[in-house]
Amino acid sequence: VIRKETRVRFASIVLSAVCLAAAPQAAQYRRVVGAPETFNATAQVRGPLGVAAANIHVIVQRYTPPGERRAVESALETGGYPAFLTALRRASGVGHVEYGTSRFTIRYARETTADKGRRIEVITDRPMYFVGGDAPDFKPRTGFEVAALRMEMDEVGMGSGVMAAAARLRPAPGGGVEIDDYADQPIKLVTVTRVIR
Amino acid sequence: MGQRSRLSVHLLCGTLFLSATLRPVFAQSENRGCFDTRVEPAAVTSTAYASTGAATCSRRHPALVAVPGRPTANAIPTQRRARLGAPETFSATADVIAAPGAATTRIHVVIQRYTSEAERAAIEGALGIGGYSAFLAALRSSSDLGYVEHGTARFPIRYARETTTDRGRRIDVVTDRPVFFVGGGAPEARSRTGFDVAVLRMEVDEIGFGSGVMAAAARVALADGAVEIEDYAERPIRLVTVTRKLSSAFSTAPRHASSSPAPHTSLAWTGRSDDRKRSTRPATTGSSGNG
Repeated sequence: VIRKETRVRFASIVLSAVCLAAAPQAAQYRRVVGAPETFNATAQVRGPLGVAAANIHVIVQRYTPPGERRAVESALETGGYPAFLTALRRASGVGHVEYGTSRFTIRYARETTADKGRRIEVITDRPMYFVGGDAPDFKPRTGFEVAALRMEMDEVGMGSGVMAAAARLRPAPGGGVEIDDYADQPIKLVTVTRVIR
Repeated sequence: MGQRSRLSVHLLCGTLFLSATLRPVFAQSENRGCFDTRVEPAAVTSTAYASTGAATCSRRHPALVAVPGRPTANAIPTQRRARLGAPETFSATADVIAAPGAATTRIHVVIQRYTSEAERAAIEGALGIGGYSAFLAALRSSSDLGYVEHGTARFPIRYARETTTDRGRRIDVVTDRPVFFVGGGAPEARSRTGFDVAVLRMEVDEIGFGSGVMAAAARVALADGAVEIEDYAERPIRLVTVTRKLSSAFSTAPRHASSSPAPHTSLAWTGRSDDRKRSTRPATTGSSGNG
């Protein structure tokens, strides 16, 4: 009986020590989160023709400052897609999306807090891939001039997301932004991970 | 004591007799066991498989293999050969593995008949004399032989040829328009002009299993007496797990292709650069006589 008690006490001491050690780490983590940061993701497309998968890397050097962000957003609201494109391409580069050997400059990056952690939205200044554009009778690509990504990350740095690799944007009737995707369905970003340096 | 020695003699004689009897049988079963593909594996498609079907356990019952197997063994290839050939359908998983990622899809190759000798000579002659443009014209004016199915799209086959190889058959198929432009969805994709056909090559064994390659968008040229295939993609699509559908294996439809054997034009594959050039020459070990 004495041995059992000792074991239980020892276990509780170890547990408390672990908890005490973990608490400041969580606080530290929150401080460390934020740009510059890198995310790795597996992009997956499932369609009637088959399955395709690719690895992409999202490198955010900094998030778009509020002033620039407002300029881009209001350009879309007031001037529509052409004005948005102009404002976007005038905005400073805040990182890039890497796909294979190609790099696509990020001109808009925003992080917002969500229930489980963070939501990160990224827009590149040119399209990354026209999914379905490999077919002999592909649809016209005109107007699909950006790529848009959304990732939902938890506090640990794991998450998922969606991606429109070639898209055009327009203001939604009820407010917000509507994304018109070139692909029949958005690319899924599965197993998104934040790279720990 | 005397009874014991008599028993020993009987046992010895019995052992000698059994070993003498079973040795050739075991030898036969080892050489022509049910897993030995050198001996009529295509019996799967024939009724004779019923007798050799028990041979899947031949190691346990060698006598079952040797005795009934012998008379049927010669009949199997005849039956099988009579059933092979067009019309036939192949299903394949097409894989593309490149630096940024990978993709996989299913295709079906439905061959109603193989190209006749006259049409084959016309198409190959057009390529030799008039080049790619004449080849295209000849190909598109030749008769429809089947189709390649990818998703809901069908691509007519205008050239289909089968040749015998050491391991079974080699089937070359050319469609009259491209099936897919691998990498064509990239913003800086290369021009699609001139890639007007798709070329498939499948190597299938006698059962109907095999593999192959596919240039889903290609153009062809004649170089050093061989047909050279320039692929739009950086590397050819791999056709893995090619299977011949059994339904068509049991078809009794007549074969339309001509029966005169002819030397097969070899195919050489080229990618975007010379380092991707892959030659498939020598193309064949002989013609099957199916066109």
